[in-house]
Amino acid sequence: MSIYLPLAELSVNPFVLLAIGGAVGFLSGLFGVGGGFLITPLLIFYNIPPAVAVGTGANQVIGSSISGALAHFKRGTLDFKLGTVLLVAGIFGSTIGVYAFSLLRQLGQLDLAVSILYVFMLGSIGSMMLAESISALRQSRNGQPAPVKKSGQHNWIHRLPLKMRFRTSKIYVSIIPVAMIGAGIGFLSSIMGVGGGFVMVPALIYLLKVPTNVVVGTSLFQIVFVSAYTTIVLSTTNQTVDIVLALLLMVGGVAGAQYGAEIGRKLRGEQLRALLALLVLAVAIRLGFDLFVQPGNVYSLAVLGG
Amino acid sequence: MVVRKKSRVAGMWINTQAVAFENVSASYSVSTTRPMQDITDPKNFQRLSLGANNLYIEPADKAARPATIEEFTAALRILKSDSGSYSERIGGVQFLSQSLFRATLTLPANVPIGSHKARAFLFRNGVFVKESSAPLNIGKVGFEQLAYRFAHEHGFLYGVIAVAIAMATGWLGRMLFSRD
Repeated sequence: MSIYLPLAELSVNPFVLLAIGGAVGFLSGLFGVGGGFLITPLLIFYNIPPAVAVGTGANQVIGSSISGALAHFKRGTLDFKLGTVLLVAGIFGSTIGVYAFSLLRQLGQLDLAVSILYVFMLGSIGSMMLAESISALRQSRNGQPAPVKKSGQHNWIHRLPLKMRFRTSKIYVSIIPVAMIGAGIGFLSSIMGVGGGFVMVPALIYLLKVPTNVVVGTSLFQIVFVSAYTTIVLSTTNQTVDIVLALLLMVGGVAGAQYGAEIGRKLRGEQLRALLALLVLAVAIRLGFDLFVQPGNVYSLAVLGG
Repeated sequence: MVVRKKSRVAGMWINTQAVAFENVSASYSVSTTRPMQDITDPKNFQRLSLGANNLYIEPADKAARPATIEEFTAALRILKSDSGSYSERIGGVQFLSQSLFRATLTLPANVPIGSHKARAFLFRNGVFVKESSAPLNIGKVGFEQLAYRFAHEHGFLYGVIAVAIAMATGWLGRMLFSRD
């Protein structure tokens, strides 16, 4: 059985897509990330054109993030003020990203830029998280309590001007790094088709020292809106959002996410972070492999100006 | 159409060279009664530009090096036949009577929509006898057609709908599977 994707213009097996959606949904529920960084590469491995994989990935991220964001809203672990600042900056970054996307596509370097960004972002974040979680695991094994939040400890970020108070997150910090994180993630969102949770979560925890439980809810809140914006803009300028593909992925995804979240509650924080780090690194290595190993066919075909 | 070639730059495989072609047939499908070499000799096929390998492909920049053009033209043919856009089907044409035949063609899933041209060539004892042609219209139907046209004509609205569907699916998923 196969189903025709109207915008990707190819026939695919719907059960493979439901399974991809389900597996990624499970992982995203488990780790509290949107899962875009897994969906887009998986679609590219499944021969979906990279441009469509990015556009549809952004659309799919909305579906998987909204249910998580709703859950955090109910629990009161969502900082609306911080989320809104991140969002405004994110939309700005995303607009620049969409133009960069069109330009790279015309130059024939979109696939390269997407791959390099993935390898670089996933590689660096994965190794940082792995190093941090391994040392946390070691400390808890030695009987010492893991250092939770070192309050009072300030880094250079806290010396910047234009400070603002975020009550839910219990931080008082300059608006400059917050806006920069938001804009950077918006940019990545439109080029890589990701919500940016895998960048946002460590950035808020390690750079801004926001409590972990507030981070996930706030990051999901901003991801929903940034990826909604990206979806609309990419579909207006590039027509690369395939509704049928997105729907198949989301149906699998929302079901998988709920089971993932249930398992996630049984694991410890540092164990979860170590597992997520390993997963992120595995994707980075797989994509890096394609970049450095001679491709099966060095020639590729593209429509002029498209 | 542009054919791009990757080569190694600082250890990475990057698109470096590109050759543009004009008026490239987006898809091409041939059906024959018998293997091509049994019908007539290769020169005749070349003269009539018949068959995926004889299809004329015109470079946009005619002043480019002939060797480069030849290399990229060959790559274009291989890519097109690998993706199913250029195909040959031996035995696809069957004569039902002396003057009536039935042709079965293989069309790729991403065949461009619009007006195509169906041409029939008759050979007798290795000699070209007659040619006739007829228009062949290919269109998407039903939902696929609707989605494709809507996405291209009302991109913004399509995006808004895509977002609405995603939000509804996420919300519904939570209602159905919620475990907390």
